[in-house]
Amino acid sequence: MSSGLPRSSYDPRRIFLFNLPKLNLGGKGREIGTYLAGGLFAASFFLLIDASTISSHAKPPPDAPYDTVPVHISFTDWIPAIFSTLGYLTISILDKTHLTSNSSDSFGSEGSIASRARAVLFVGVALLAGGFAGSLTVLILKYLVPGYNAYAYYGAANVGMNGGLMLSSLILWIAQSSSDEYEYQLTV
Amino acid sequence: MKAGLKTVVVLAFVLAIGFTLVILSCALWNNWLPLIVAFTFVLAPLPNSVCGRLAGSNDFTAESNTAYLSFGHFLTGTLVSSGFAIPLILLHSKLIQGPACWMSMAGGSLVYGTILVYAGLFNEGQDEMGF
Repeated sequence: MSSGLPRSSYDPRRIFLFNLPKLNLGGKGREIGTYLAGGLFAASFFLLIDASTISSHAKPPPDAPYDTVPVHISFTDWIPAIFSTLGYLTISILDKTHLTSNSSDSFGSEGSIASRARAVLFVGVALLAGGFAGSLTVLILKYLVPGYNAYAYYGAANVGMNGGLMLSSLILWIAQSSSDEYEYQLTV
Repeated sequence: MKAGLKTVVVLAFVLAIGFTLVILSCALWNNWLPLIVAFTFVLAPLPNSVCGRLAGSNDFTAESNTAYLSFGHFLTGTLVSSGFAIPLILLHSKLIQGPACWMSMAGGSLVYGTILVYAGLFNEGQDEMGF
């Protein structure tokens, strides 16, 4: 090894030129991050439920009490949420330690574990991003283009819900991938 | 931490005040929707204890599964967050009055805080409950 780097900070398997900082929160940070992720998950769901409740109890404007309310939240508004939730579950169920492992299967025929884990991760992230893009589409096509600007909160809540799920999955990822030093201390 | 008799009495009082606030927030306006808050906050400590038992967290020689523990933390966060979110939603869609919302939220957090403090004080034998 003829590089000038000190031996301790050199990882021969790294792929970036610069050392990326490794977030290590420890046991307590792991716990708090998981709590935060759960809270954000529920809060983003309740944002969409809030919009649905308002929509189902919406009354026509007081100066025209016999008009009908022009737009309601329907099943269309929930489709992005379904995609995002599926993606969230896929990402959170995945065991992150397999993403960087080099070891192959015990049978060695199906390809390495890492590539399969990465494929599952790709599907999960695609579902999450698809949900977010779908919520933006609903906001624009259902509320902004037809000119229901007074009801734009329904679409905005949808975007906020899907963004909240993304953020929550990010927090959960960071919290769960921090090292289990706490656990090791207990096992020793 | 030593927990004396006074602590128990104070905790019981706080618990009673919390439940009174929640029930008042329903009864004063004759609208029993805020009672959902009490259920979420009473249920909130449950996932941690169930998942802690499932993971076998007291047996360190065996391989303790942290996935169960993390799932319990996640569920706790979900329940506590929904305890605060439900009154806000009901207020936002004008199903309950403003004071009812704040009263049920305050009462629910008092109940949850009491359960946490009680569990923290009287579980000395176990290392850490970590609600």
